[in-house]
Amino acid sequence: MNVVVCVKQIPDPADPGALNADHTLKRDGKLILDESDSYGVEMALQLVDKAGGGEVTLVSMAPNGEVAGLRTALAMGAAKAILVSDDALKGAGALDTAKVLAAAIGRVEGADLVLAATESSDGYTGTVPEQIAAILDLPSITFAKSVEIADGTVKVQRQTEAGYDECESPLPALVSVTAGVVEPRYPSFKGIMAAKSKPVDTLTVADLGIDSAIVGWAGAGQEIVNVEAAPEREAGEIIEDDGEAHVKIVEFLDGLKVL
Amino acid sequence: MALSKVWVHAETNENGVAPITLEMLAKAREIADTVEVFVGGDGSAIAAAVGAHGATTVHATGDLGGKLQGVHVAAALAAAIEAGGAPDLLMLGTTYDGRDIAARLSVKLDKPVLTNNIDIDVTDGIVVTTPIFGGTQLVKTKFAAGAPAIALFRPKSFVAEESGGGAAAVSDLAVPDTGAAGAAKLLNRHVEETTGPKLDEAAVVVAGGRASARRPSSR
Repeated sequence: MNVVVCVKQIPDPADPGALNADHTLKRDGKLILDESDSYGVEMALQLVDKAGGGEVTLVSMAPNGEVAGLRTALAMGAAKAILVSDDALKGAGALDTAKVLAAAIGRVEGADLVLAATESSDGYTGTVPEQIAAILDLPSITFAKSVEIADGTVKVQRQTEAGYDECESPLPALVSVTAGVVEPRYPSFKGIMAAKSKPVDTLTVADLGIDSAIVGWAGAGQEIVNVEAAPEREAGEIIEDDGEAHVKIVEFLDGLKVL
Repeated sequence: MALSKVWVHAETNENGVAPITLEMLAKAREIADTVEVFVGGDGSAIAAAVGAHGATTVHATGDLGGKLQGVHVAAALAAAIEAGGAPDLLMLGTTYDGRDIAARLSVKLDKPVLTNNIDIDVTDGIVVTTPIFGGTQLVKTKFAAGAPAIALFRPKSFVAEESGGGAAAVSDLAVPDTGAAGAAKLLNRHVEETTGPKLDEAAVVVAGGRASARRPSSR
């Protein structure tokens, strides 16, 4: 059972986000493994373990050859990683990202399953996994809150507005997993040490056979025309509870004619 | 510049047409001469509801049976668009199925998709507004890859309002063979019982707690 996991390395969410002059997100500091991707990594490790063989390969796209987040996922137990890092990817949109990641996944031989988070914590478009599946012509099930493999089939509980759907797909397939699908492990000291020597194959867009004119700013097909501070939201009404707050709340709701 | 034609994705639930669809229809009427709807399911079941909100046609795949929405509805849309029926813009909700359909369609058409929008303006091209950094900043992005633009909107971005139209005409949206990509199946649906309104659909939220005084802009 060989599983590829798409992981994103993002600026630390604890730091305030900021934009460059060209409106791209500042990513020049240290990047970390997106927490939402730790669920996919853990799920992959458990599926490989349950299958009794195989390995987990990470695929990522990041500027400046950044590998700090990948090392975290390798320390959890992934075997190797492919990093695509190229200045031509600056300004890449979701579709460009999917094209690059799909090409990188195509270099992994014998992949039975591709896992991804439902969305990244800094971009949150929620479309990249399904776009990757479309490019690779794979069946897909998104927003999985439970994943099981049996007899060449992946069985998934897919989150819906009303509850969940039971779905299944033959392998190979792509599945995007929600946070909470499993409990990610903490890397052990042994794992952290082992991760330092695990292979990370760093590639450029040209290495993947992709024309740099169709990715990044050149291929995004969109133009940011303005970024501005959001207007302050209208202040809500705060009622100090002097023992009569419930009466005022009832009056407020009655005034809206919602009672 | 008003758009010539907009297609709005009709999301359905146990109560009929989902609020997000009716909200997008209100905005679509404002920016386009012709507003039509597409649905991965039975068109006649929603024709009256979306017609009352301004849609003149429902492009419907019919019952998809055990097929998933994303790959099949996107394939049907791509085929219709390639056959010459392209709208200027497709509007979908930032929802589970909305994102799947938009993602598959963007690859089929090789067009960008912009999600999580809260507004749209068509005065000078198609420009969507997206909140970032926890809603403290707004990004305005113009589609620059030609028609159709694919934009997804958050619930409650617009206010739904009936326009008094009659039932929309139902048109078949043929689903082509999707090959291996369409092999995933839906086996069973589980509805988890909930009580009370959905928070993201509530017009007014009453909250309490010690932190309220520190966040006067919260409501």
